[in-house]
Formats: sequence, structure tokens, C-alpha cells
Amino acid sequence: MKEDEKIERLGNKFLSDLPLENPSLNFSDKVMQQILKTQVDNSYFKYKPLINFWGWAAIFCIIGTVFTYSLINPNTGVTLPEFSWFTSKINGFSTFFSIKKMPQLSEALISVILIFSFMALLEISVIKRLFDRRATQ
Amino acid sequence: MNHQDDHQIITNIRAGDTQAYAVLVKRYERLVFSLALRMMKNREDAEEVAQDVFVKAYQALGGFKGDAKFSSWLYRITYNRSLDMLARKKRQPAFENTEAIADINLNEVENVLDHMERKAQQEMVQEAINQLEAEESFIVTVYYYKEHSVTEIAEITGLTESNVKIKLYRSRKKLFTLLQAMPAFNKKELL
Repeated sequence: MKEDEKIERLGNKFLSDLPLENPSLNFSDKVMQQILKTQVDNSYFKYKPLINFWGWAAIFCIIGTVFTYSLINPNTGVTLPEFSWFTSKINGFSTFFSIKKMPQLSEALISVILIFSFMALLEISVIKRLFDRRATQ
Repeated sequence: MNHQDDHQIITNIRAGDTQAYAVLVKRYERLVFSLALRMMKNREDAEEVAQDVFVKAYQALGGFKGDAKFSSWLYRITYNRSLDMLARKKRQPAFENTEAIADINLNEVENVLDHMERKAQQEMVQEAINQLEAEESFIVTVYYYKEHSVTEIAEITGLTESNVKIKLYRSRKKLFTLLQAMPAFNKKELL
């Protein structure tokens, strides 16, 4: 019998039914714990937009409306009473501190700035609450 | 045997039943751990690799194609993770230079093993397997334990079929050479 045939035969005889090794007793529990931990970690770091598609659509609609309105009516600007109140206060503030060199801001621009400021404040408070909640999960 | 079952379990896991994965872990933990141990030659490292294999397999379950056996896919991860860890630790277990031992008396090896108790015989063969290089141990174990074909081993390891055949032949020859060099084989009373 050739050597390679003999090796093949001996391999089948002595290597076929070797017992398997056992890992530690709680091996599968450790694996499952790791998997569950990874899942929590993944959910924590998984990207979730704070403002969803419809939120952004609404924001752009509002901004678009304000700009379109100001373009159609360049002389009158935004005349909503709430914005007029804000713009009068801001103009009063700049007058009080004699900021004469500052260019006069249109009501539309001031309205946009106010909307963005409001959204920024809202985002900060929402972000804080959201991250606090995720961290305690 | 469990081919269909594995796929059913994987479907359940993908549907959100995370706990179903524990069944797969239980089913394959011994084999994955044994393969890792054969490559790492150390129980702590083997356990770390085996855990890592199951976690990685779970994370990559979405990319698992149903046309392959889950077990073969798991063995491929085991093989790659073990090689990664060996490379990271920058160590390969020290082996005797068996290439130099040209004369191998296979009849003598068979005779001595035949006269041993089954348990002692298995322990000795396992000791010899542990002295093989990581890749050789892996190929021999997968080939004999699960009776994987050369083609399947080639798919698992990423080697060519002819390369697997050569490695398998050399590994077995080296294994019997290592056995022959063991002290127990020099005891004449066993013959």
C-alpha cells in the first residue's frame, strides 16, 4: 500500500471520532449577554434624526413662505402683529444702545432670525432630553 | 442534519427573536470552541475567539446568504478570527521541525495506537494535533470531524482545492510523525 493511501486509512481510523472540547459552563449566557449589550449600544449610537422629513418640510415651507411674501411685497415686509412687536423691540434695543452704524434690518430678515433662534433653543432642549433618556436606557 | 432548522432559526432571529440565537450558540459552541482551541492552543484565547465569533456572526446575520450552510459560514468566521488574533498577538506556537523526520513507520504508529485504551489513544492524537500549526489543525479537524469535503474546506479557508489537498496530506503525515516521536511510542512493552 502506498504511503498516501495508508495515511488516508489511518486518518479515517484515528481522527474521525475525536471528542470535542467544551467551553466554560456559562459560555452561551456570556455570548447572549454580549449580544444584548451590543444591541443596546447600537441603539444608543444609531443615527436617529431629531427632526424628521416632515419636520424639515414644514420648516422649509415656513421659511419659503416668509421669503416669498417679502419678495412679493418688498416695501411692506412681514406685517404680522407678533413679528412687528419683536422688530419694534429689537429696533428699540439698537436705538437705546445707539447702534447707528448697524444697517437697518428688514422685518422679514428679523423674522427669519427669530424663527431660527427659536428652533435652535427648541433643538437644544430636545437634544438634552433625548440624550438623557437614551443614556438611562 | 440541522441545515433546515438553522435557516428557520435565522429567519426567526431576523424577525426580531433575539433569544432564538441562543439555540444556535448552544448547537455550535463546542465545535467553534474546539476549532478555535486547535488554532489558538490556549483555552482562554480560544474562548475569547469563540465568543467573538458568535457576536460577529450575529451582527453579520443580515448578510448571511441562505445558499450556504450556516455551520460552514460560522467555521469561516472562526478561521479568520483565530488568524486575526494570532496575528494580533504576534505569536505562533512553537513547533518541532518535523520536516526533518523523513522516516515514518506508519505500521508502528498504527500498532501502538491499536494497543492503547481508546481514551489514551484520543488524548495522544489530540496532543499531536495541538502541535500542528494553526491552519493545519483547523483543516484536519474540519475534514474529519464534520466530514467536510475538500471543496467545502477550500470555501471556508479561501485556499484553492489543490492547496487544501496538499495541506491535508502534509498535516496528516506530520501528525503521524509527531505521534511516532512521542515517548509512549518508544516503550517497547506497548508493542
